[in-house]
Amino acid sequence: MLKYTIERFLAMILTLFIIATATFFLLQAVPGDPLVAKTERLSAEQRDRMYAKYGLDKPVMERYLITMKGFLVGDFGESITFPGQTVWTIAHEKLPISARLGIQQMLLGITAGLALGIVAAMKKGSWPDYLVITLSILLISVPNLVFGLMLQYLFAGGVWKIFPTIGWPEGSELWTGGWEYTILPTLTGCFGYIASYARLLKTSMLDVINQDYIMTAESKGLSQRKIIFRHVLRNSFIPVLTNLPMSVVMCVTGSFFVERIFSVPGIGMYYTTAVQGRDLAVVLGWTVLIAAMMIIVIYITDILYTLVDPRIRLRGGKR
Amino acid sequence: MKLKKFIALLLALVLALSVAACNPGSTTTSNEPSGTASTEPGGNEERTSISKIENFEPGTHGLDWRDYTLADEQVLDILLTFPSTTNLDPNDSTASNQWELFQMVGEGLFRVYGNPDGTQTMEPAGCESYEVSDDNLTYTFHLRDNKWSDGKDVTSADYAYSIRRLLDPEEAFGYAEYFWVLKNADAYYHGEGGFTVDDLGIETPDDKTLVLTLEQPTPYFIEEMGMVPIYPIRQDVLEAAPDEETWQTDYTYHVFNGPFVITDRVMDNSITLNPNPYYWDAENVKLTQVNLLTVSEQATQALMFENGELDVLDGSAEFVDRWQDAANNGDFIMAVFGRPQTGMIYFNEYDHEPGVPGEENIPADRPRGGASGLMLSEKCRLAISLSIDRQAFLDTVYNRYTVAGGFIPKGMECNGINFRETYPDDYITKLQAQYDTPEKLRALFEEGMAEAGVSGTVSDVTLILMNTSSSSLAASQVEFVQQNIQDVLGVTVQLKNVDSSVGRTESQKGAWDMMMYSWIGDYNDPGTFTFLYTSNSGYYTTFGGFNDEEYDHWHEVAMNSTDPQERADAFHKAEEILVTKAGVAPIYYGDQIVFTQTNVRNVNWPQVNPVEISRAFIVADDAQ
Repeated sequence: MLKYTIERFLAMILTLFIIATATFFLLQAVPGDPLVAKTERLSAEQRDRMYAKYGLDKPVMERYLITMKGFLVGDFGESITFPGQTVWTIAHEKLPISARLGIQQMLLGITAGLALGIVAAMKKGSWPDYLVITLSILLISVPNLVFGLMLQYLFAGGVWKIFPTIGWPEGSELWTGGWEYTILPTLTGCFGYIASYARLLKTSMLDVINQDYIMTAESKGLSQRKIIFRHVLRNSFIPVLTNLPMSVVMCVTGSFFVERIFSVPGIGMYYTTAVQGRDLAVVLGWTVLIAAMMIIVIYITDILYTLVDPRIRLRGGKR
Repeated sequence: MKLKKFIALLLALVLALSVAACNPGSTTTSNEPSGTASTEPGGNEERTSISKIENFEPGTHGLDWRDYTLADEQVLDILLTFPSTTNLDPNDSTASNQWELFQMVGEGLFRVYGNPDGTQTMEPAGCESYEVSDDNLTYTFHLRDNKWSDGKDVTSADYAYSIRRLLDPEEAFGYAEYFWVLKNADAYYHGEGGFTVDDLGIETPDDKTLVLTLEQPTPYFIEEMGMVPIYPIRQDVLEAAPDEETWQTDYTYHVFNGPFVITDRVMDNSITLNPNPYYWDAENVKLTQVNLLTVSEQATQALMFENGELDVLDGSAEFVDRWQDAANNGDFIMAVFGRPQTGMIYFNEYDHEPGVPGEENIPADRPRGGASGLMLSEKCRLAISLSIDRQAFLDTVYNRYTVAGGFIPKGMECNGINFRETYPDDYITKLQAQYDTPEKLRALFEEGMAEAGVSGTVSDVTLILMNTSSSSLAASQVEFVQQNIQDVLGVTVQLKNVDSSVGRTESQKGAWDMMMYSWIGDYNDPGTFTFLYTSNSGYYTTFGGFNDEEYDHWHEVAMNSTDPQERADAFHKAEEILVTKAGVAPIYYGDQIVFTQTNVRNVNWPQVNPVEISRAFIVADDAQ
């Protein structure tokens, strides 16, 4: 077990290194650099000075070494598009905002999604089932942007003025206050979760219902209710649990459209702007950070799996 | 069956919504005019009606709040473009949202106000008065008694420190080159002649006097004195911050000398301003709070403006169609202001002239006269320029703006002379009257071909029109021009689209004949346009390169003379050469569409600076 854990850990470090290197060179290969827009109106001479100021006149390999050295000590470099901002200051300021939004969306979305999934599976072939499936298709195909604008128009002024149009709680209210600001953005973003978790759970439940042990339970004369809650549900949750860690990571990374519509000062819009502006330091640093979070979650999940489900262990023999 | 119908209905709804989603707000860069193509018939005539702004009170400045019944709440909500201003260093202000913020919290020597006719007025602000020496080399500014928000006096040392810092070559500030006209500044910046920062033409004989000395007479120099990058900076405050970077980004390390101070900032969401009690003209600053809101989504901006959550909205034509009726009903005010912007086609005229700035970046094998080899021919270029139906271009692509017959846009003033009103821009129309049929234009083009030593007729020619923007607006521009030139001249025009990030490199390689661009002036003087095409301009290689000794001469005359009439005449001669020799083909003059709520007063749009709100106030609803 220890050997397995260590091996996985080393693999994780290697993966991170490869991701950082690949991202760096991919970003170099993409035409353009962060100073294009900033120096557009400057004369050739001033432009050269700017490039020298940000070290962008150095050869690629030298910049790669500087970047990698920085990573080792946790220094991701400074933004060029947003002077004075580093990956850490951005994360510090914006991650909590995106995280609260993401967590609220996820809690609401997954709860509703699972409930609808159960209904659909239990009423298979009847109208509630069709309704849930149709809704899932609808919710998953309509872009966030449209839902956001629609909700905003309906409930923030266009028809009824119930919620504020834009904004986000800050300061002491960062995590627990200012609910009225968070309702529309949360609703907008939770539809995706509802749709995917409803379908996931329904499929998984139908799969379990067809297993032999359910037939055994039925033939023993257990009530439908008991079968569903005691036997079907418990066994249907494995695929849901597999998806969950990914959702948790994704939910803190921000949502561009929701943040844009409701002017939520989160990380989604920042990252998109950084990519558009070829803000190398921010794009690279943030990509590596997200990759690291993903890999760590996968690592923990994998380790836990080996504890939960012996079939997943890679090699035979005693551990 | 019912279920199927329900699903069909849902799918239809989904489709409709998705189509709606395909039209999100277009993102624009600072140099690209915002706006969208509208093909709605009849839209153009209606559009003209809103440009009448005689009674546009909110757009003026200098209204006295004592003449009005003020509303109880004096709060102004206004947009600040994303990303919100992180950099609070006046010297490093290059983006318009930085200028917008600094005009509210800072005070330079002058404050710039916009007039409804598109001109602007520069009023003494940080200075009370100034004198210019007889040789036009020495400017003496007498500072007004004003205080920083910590109660300390604003002194001439604060101004001097700021200008010296701006000119520090180590800092590489973008706006430094505007102040190379100061004595020894050019040489100091480039490390020539052994000059130090003390040799610059900046003196402070006493706390209230700032003396700037120039290298040579510079008639437009005073126009630059309203620029944000030379707003005063308190050296002791900057040095008290943990480091320069912290000072640049954290507003709590700042003191302000303008009408307002920053009291709160939520990054990329809002900045809150409250009045500065120490401001010299505090009694005329009526707003008790200004909320600068960052809202990127245009649909959200529109909703907020309709709800009254925004008082002022500027910069986009997206809302024009939508709000036409509401504006006519007097629900709010919509107006069109002039803007110092000229849209043009420029030609690949670069001819490997030794010694021009930027020459080192041009590959030696760049084709002469562009991909077609014809762009050095004045006649070919002129035939192209005259072939463009500019009104049709505007009707098709923008449904706004005005046709440009000259290079210098409306509203530009030459030391008080309104340039465009003095010199009509009929160069193009006169020539078009002379070459009034496609046959004549084709003949002109073929004459040019013969002179350039290219055999064949127009039908043998392929011209390459390069486009470096991915916006749909740019696409409709070049497509119109392509079709137009092909139809009239009978040549083939090929579109070459390259990503904006490699635009400069591709442009330097020179495998193109024509490109399109719009230039927005930096200060109120025709020189901010004519300098683009002088052979010693830093932009010479960027915008095609038009080499004409006579043009250079007249630009020189204009820039070195101190007689306004002589200057204006010289600018006029330069412009005439540039347009009639088709150094560029001017197409349109830009404008700016602005919206305000009806109870807002004294909000105005200067020509080259962002919106000015320092003396704005809100009138009571029943007193409008």
